[in-house]
Amino acid sequence: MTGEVRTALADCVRAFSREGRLFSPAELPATPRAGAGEWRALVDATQAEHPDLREIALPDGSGGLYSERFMTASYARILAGRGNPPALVVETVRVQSRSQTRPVPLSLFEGPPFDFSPADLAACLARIAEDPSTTDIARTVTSAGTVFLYSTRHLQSDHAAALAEWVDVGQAENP
Amino acid sequence: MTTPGGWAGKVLRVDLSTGRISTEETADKYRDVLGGTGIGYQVFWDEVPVGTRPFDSANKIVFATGPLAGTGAPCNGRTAVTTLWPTCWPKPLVASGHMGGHFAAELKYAGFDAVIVEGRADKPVWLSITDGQARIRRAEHIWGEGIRRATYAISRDMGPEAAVACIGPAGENQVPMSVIINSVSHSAGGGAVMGSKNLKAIGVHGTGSIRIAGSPEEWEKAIKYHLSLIGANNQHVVPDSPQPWAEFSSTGSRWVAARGRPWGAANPPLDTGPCEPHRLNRIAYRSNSAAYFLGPQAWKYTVRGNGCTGCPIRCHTVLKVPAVAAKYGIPETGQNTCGGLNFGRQFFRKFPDGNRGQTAIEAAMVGMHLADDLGIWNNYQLLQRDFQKFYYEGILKVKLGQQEYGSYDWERYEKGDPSFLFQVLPRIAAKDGELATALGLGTGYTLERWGIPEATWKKDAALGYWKMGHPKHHSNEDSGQCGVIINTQYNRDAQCHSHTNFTRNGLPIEVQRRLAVELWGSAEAVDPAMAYTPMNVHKARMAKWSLLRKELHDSLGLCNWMGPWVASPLRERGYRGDNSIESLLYSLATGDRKTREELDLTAERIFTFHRALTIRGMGTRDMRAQHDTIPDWVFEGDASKAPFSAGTIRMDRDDMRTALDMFYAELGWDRRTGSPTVESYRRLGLEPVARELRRRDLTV
Repeated sequence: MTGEVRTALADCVRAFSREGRLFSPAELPATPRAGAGEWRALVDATQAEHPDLREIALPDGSGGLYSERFMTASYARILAGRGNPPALVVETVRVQSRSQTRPVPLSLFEGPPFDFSPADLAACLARIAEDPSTTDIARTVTSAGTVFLYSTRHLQSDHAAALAEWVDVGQAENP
Repeated sequence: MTTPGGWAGKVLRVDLSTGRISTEETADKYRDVLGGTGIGYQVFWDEVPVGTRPFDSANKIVFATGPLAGTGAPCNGRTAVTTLWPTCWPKPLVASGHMGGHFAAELKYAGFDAVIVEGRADKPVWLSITDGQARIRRAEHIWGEGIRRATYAISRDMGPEAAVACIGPAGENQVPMSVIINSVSHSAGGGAVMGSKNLKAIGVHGTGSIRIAGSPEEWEKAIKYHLSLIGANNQHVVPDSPQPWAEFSSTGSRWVAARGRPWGAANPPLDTGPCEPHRLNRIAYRSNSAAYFLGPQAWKYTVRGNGCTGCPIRCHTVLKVPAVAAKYGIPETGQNTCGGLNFGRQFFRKFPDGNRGQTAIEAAMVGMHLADDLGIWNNYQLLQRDFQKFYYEGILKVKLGQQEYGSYDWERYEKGDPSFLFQVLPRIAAKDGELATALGLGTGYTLERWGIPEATWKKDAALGYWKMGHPKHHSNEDSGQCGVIINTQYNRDAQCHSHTNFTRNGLPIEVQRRLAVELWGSAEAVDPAMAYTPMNVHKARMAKWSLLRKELHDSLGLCNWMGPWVASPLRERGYRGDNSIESLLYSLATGDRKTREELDLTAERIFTFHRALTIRGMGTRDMRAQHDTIPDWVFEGDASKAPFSAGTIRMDRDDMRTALDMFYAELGWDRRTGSPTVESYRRLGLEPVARELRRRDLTV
């Protein structure tokens, strides 16, 4: 592969990142000669020349590319996880509960970059509720009726309830 | 003598009793207190006799900007209004209000750093200030008019670029709960004091400029640097939803811009987009106060953000809600932020379509229309909370006569019909009836009038009442002990945002703690929200820093609602802001090179001046017992949870005693009384203040 191809790929990845999208092999037009080995070699060579490019594993086993100049790893993780909504919701809730010390409103998952439909989200929550490995994911409802999720590994239930009320109602009442 | 950079150079003094207008050199008398509240406190210390009442002609009202107002420094649009505060109960004491808008810059361009208004005019007047000249003008033709109409009348006279600080009927009628408003929606309290002086308005317009002492290159570099550190409204530095550029997001952040969230009433609609923090020309898109407070449907009504001179944040959201014109007979556009935006909405406990539905937005529009024209103050929303409590607990039925009680359509109120506001707010401004008159007094005097012990208000956590007729303003709910300490210090609600703008900035607690080490000496200065730990000296340092930064901003002309800027949205800086940005800007603007520590010492002088005024005004040195009080709800509310357990803001009495001990020690104040020591006055160059207090037996 020539340097021009690698530069073009890097530019393409950056443009995708600016738009909030991961770049994956699926974005390329199908060509009979473009095999997995060639793609791997191209990615490795391009990353070597363009160190801002990062690769993240996608649920289908392939890798998505992004430029850390325009996209953070945390955002890329959300994009990469969209193919497995339950796992993404669980990870997001745990991370927010641990590092941000806050519960997550359910509405977060209906907006970008998650973009789950209400039906998909309901199905996702049902699966989480049935999964024995995710029993730490709990919910609390504020006085305004807003549902928040949190992880009991990182937040006590009283704390989560108070924080949800604070974010949903209290902060706006204390401007 | 060459006028130093930054300052306009003169203070204007207007005696409305005699008509005498004079000027004095700012540098001669006020250099050591910078401007803003510093000038206000100095004037009150030197000139206003103890025992003066707010509406006495001996009371003064000081409109003061600072050396950074009217410069290119970000967020420089502030004017401090200092006077004897008529809602301060049981005895009015000195306090200040703070208005943004364009008044500060116009005053500076007209050649003045401050206006001291004294005496009382025989007839209604307004004050015209243009390019070094001031004239007292007759105001009979606008007396009785709302703020909008009066502002237009004066603007027709002075020109469209004039900034007009005006009172409405509430101020004219000396309703203590009244405001002064400039630039459509930017308010400060003290309206009734202007009214007592028969002063309808001050119009200012200047064509001058402010000299910057530093080189243009240095100044421009500093401005761009400051802009690079700025986040969204209230210096929230992470977005409220995941963005490609953002490492963190935080529900509750006021950084609400995102792809798919457009200013829907702009023509054409404008998508706010991801607002990557290095794109400085998009700072104004980051915040939308209406969407933050009124909910997502406010996006479709948003025209744009409006705001103060030199401020990129534009926190006063302009809304266009066509439905309100036909429904309520009011203009379809309105603008405000925070308490002003929520003024009408918060009278109601519920709305037919929920608290973030269309009716709530209409209530906000009606409230803005009425309150910002009549000039009514809401005392940081305590007015509305009082109103709800009075009604829902049956107090109004008892206190009002049957005839007056029946004159209000309570069914309409309970249903959440915004038209109910037309029954309440004009009557407050006109002192029409018992309810309106009582509400217009301010909480302390309302309770006294109706024979309700203040102690009952101090027990009700939902009211958020604090002391002296005023509510909490970012207290334990925001920053635990630090917030409580801050709320003990003033003679009205604290209005300090230094602490809350840090704790609510959206960064993970680990990052906040890393920054806290650099700022206050230890990660233990900050706790996760609602998981507080016992007091430590670093929290006391944070409290002292917060208060001094507030006074510094109020005296420089900067906005403490937006600053300080000690955290930033910049990942490459580890989210650090700059704790020295104020001293950098001050030094460049004025040519008076001061380090952060030196400028903080000036802020401490100003803060201590306020303390001395309070001691003299109250006639006691025992501030700890008599002034720095904490309401019972802080210790007794949320009774099911123990202090320091996760999920409560309940505090511990012994711990708060320790907190005040530590805070007083940080300031060099006497721990027993909370009074500055003679040594602390001396250290701050306030020996004359100490001498007078000693003469009055008020030193320790």
